[in-house]
Amino acid sequence: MRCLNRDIIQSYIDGEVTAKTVARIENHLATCGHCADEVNHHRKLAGRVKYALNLYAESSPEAIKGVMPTEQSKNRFLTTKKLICFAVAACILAFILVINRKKNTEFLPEITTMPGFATEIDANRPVSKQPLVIIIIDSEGNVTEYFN
Amino acid sequence: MLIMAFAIAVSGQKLTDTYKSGTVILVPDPTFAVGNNWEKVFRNYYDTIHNTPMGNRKSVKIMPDGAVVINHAYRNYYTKFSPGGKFEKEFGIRDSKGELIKKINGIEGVINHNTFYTGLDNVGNMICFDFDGNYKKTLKLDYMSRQMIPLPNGKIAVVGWVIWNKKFRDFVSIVDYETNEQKVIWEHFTDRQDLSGERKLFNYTYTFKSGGVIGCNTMPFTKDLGMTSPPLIECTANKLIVAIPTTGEILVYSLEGKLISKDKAAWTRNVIPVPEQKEIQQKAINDYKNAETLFSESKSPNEELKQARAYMIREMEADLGKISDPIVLPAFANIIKDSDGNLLFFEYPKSENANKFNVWIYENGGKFVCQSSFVCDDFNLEINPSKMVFYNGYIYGLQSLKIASGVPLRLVRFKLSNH
Repeated sequence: MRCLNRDIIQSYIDGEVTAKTVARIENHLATCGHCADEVNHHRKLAGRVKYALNLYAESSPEAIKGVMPTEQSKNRFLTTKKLICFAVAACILAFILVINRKKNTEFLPEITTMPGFATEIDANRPVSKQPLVIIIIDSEGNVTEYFN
Repeated sequence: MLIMAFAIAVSGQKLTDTYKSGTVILVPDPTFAVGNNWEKVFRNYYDTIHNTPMGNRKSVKIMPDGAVVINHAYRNYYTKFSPGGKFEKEFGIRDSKGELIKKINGIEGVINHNTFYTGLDNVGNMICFDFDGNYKKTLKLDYMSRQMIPLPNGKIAVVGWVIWNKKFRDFVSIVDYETNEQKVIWEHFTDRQDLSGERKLFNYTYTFKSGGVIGCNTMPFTKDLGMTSPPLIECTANKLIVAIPTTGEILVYSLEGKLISKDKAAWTRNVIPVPEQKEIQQKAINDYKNAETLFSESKSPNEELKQARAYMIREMEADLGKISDPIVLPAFANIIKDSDGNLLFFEYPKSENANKFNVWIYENGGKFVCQSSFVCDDFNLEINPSKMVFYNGYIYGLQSLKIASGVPLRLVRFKLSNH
């Protein structure tokens, strides 16, 4: 098996590959330190990002938006699924953005988060009691929702 | 049959008569959904994602025969109940080989009286399948959607949005189920203020010297990212109604997308008064000041992170003194169509349980009829089209009991009464 690309790594971390593929990947990881490091890196990143995002969801009245530095403008949406942790990372906080910026810039020319209400307003609750949603869109158009 | 006959008898009274008679009391039908084991049926009610409760993210859809289907967010199955509310089964979507599709989105509606269609997935696919869960086809849209409703001519109206390099585009389109062709009938562009460098009240950004931006918004309906409140759509009397909450405009289109008429909501709009804005802003400041954990969690050696937080808090505090005008709330919180075809335009309530709706009929052109509100003794009402659907004079609701041991969520059928 050849070295793993990032899509496969992310699918593997997310548990989205078949048992057969898992076996092949794990056989490869047992013999390839480079890929094993990559998998570990992405696992840690995803965990850190989810933890931080959760902290923010608890503390922020409306979540933040983050925009990565744009080397070239792109307007590509809704193509293939990419590394969700990158999207989440960029959205929550520049802390994580900055930490990973150099590594991720090639994948993340732009990240946008859309703080706001859940898709449908409950007409029986005042504005201050509406559940909030954070919609995160990465440069590939992947949309992730987080709720407060 | 008995249930149907009873329903028809009940619907003999026009719903507008009930609305005109004052506050509408929602009375649960004791014969509906009897004997269901709710702990089992809604066993995912306590689901969480990243410690945030998610189990109540469900929606109710009514099939043409009165059967009920429930969507469960992030769960890859649907729950079906008989027209009498009896739990029947959980089901998914099977592909052409008979295999269950692993990830499915919620059912958004029924098209052509025989086909379910789902919300869009991350790559813009709308999956269409028959009532037994057998895959039929996939429609593809190249944008994100906020709302999708079926039209009686075999098309689907969509509220979509997309981010462009310098603008946000909110729009309404009509999608042909047979051909996947799309026609945009209304659109609105908003400049991307977030890229301009100009700061609006309640919007904060900090650009790092090394690149990257952090930002936040602290007040409802003030974010500088697209429309603060996107259009709402509904179909009645063979017309597509597009309501623009920010302006109060109500646009009436033919099912083919031709603009027929325009009107404007005349009711007084609620506001977020200055004291409440200050309260919200102060809470935001406190929250950001208390975000120490997060800052230390980043383990970044970059002192600029702390500077960013300090800068944003300073700006927030400065804005606290600049709050001088009430924020006018959008004209509509949501729209629900009743089973007589009337549209109920709900306003943003001033306080909890103070819902108020404005009834419009569209039989002979749009016409305001009256204003009313819903109350219920037994349930905490959640009022939106996902949780309340009219059918044959009743409201089918996915609502939470005020007093319950265990899972409080119920599929319930309400009779509308004034007594």
